[in-house]
Amino acid sequence: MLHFIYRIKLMLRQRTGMFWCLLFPVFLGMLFYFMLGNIENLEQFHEVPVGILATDMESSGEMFVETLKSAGTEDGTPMFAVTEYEDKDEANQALDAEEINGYITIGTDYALTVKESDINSSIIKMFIDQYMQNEALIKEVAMTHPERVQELVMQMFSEEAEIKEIPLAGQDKSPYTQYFYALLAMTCLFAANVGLVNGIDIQADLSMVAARRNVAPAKKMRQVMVDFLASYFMYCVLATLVLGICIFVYKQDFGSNAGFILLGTWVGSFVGIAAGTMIAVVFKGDRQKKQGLCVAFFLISSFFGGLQWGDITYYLEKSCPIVNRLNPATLIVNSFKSLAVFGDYQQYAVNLITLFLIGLLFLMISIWKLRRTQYASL
Amino acid sequence: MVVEIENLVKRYGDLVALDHFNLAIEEGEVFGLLGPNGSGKSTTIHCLLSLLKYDKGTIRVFGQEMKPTSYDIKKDIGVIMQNVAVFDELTVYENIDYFCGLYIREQKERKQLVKEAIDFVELQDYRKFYPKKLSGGLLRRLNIACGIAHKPRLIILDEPTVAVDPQSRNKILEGIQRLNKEGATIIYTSHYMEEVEQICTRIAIMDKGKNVALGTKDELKAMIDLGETISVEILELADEVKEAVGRLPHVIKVSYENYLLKVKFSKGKHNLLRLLDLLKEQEVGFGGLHSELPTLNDVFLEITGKELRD
Ligand SMILES: Nc1ncnc2c1ncn2[C@@H]1O[C@H](COP(=O)(O)OP(=O)(O)OP(=O)(O)O)[C@@H](O)[C@H]1O
Ligand SMILES: [Mg+2]
Repeated sequence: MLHFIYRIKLMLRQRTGMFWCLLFPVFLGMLFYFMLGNIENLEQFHEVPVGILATDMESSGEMFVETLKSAGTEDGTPMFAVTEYEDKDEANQALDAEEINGYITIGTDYALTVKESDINSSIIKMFIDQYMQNEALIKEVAMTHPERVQELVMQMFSEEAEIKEIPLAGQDKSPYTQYFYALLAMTCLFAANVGLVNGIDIQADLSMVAARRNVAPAKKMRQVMVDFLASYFMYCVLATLVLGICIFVYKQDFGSNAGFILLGTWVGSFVGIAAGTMIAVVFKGDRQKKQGLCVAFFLISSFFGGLQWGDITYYLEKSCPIVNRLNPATLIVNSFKSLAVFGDYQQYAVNLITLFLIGLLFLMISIWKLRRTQYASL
Repeated sequence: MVVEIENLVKRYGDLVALDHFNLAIEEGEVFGLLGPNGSGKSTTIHCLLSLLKYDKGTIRVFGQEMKPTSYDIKKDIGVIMQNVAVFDELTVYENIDYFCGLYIREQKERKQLVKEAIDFVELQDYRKFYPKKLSGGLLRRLNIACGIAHKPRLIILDEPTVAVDPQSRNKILEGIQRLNKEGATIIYTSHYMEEVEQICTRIAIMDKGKNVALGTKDELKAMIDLGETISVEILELADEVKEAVGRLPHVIKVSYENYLLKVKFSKGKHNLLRLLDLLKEQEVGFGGLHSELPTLNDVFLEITGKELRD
């Protein structure tokens, strides 16, 4: 327990290590949050400003305007911002000034005037078409159950129109959540740095403290396990923190999958630490070289995992699918995606178990190599 | 025997670092391992601790064969390596506690031991300091504390006083002698012959991985011909006079450099008197004069033909 606690202290005080492991994902998340957040806002549904030009309004025209005003999206935000104009010049002026996307002239039927045809003008057009098709029904409902008009209009739209992009399945609320999956996967892979330090600190030919630890009567395997458990514990806390920041600060809504994603980051961190330890133990060379290998592992794994360029996994799937089955970064991201996008728990489990087995393999190799208790040269 | 090393051979590639090296250290000794840089002192110690693989030879500690898994031997050994081995991220107190904790599990006992170790190296005011904030000498003292906190029976120190100021160095040397009085056997390596002479009961002189001489300091000095070195300050010395000095009985070597005449005599009586008589006779004026008994450097010089220090 003493050395467990000291190991955690050691990790917390390694400033550069902590930067990579915690601050980097947090900064990256912030970047995603602000950059992607803006894009998202643009594409998010905003009420369409529309003008009404009615010189002599009949009751059917009033009905139309009422329906137009009451039309809303599922969550209750109104679909249109309606302005009424008295004459044509006024309406044209507003259109030129881009205060409105178009205006509807109400006469015997409904004529739409727009400046350019874009998504908003098609929404207005769509509304008019829908309304005209269902005019009779709406009028009837308005007469018998006026309180249900809105409900009817809403139903009409959700059936016929796809105004908002609707995700495939699962619970992904934002198309940008995948960037956060990549970020979480990177956080897991960063754990390799921690594993590397563990591996260096126990090999007498790599660090002086290790020489001291090797001449002590405490069993080497015990020391290795204590270091591993301490850093793993620490890293799980850290991964939880990063996930928490994604959810609560960067407002990523993973829905009820949050728990599974957390478990995923824990298994991912296990693999990360084991990989770093293995790099420190298996490869020949000094500290710098091993640090370089660790960075290489991180970059290669994350590159093939599509964390930088998403299409790579697609090409790998065609040319060399085994990489996608075994690459830790791919496995982590896929486990998240299989949950959130496809709602596929079996795929999630397969990915995590594969990950765990890979981590276990790395760890076993490291331990087996570390049993070599004497060094050829210090 | 606390330590027995027989026919130890250690190669680094083509380089033979230890060449059939032998060593036997008895309980209660302060044993000095003296040798110039690269003579194989650290290598010997690393082999002794089973850190290094060696090519040939046997090593026994406390009468048992030393292996990497000899935990019951290891628990009674304290090691102070040549290079400082502490965690930069732990404070002085935490470092000592960490390493002591590898030997002593019991918390209360360990707390007391750590306190004693801090007192021993006089780092009381630096408990909360991180190693980076310590001066070179203070860091060395921390290094020592980390190695001896668990009160080992055998303490191995590999040049522990490098970069330590003379005052602290004396404290450390006194401390080592105190540990010895309390019952610990000490192995002390150094290339400072003064230190070794000051504290070691027995000394092995190493060169090129071999044990070239062994004994107490007096035994070692008795081994060589040199009895004393007499130095005389002389402003001007004619070559004939220098030659005449060389013809005196017992003279081994004469040199004259920087107004200093140095005459090495083998063991014999009246050496100083004869030299002074000669100088008077030749009417050579001289200033200061002093006589030195042989040092370990002289021993080393005579055995290997080179100076102990570069
Ligand atoms: N890791 C190594 N690889 C190759 N050669 C080595 C290694 N370590 C030491 N040597 C060589 O082995 C010889 C003995 O080195 P060692 O460190 O034991 O000397 P030392 O007596 O401790 O010297 P110093 O007084 O400088 O500490 C030297 O020639 C050195 O160059
Ligand atoms: Mg040395």
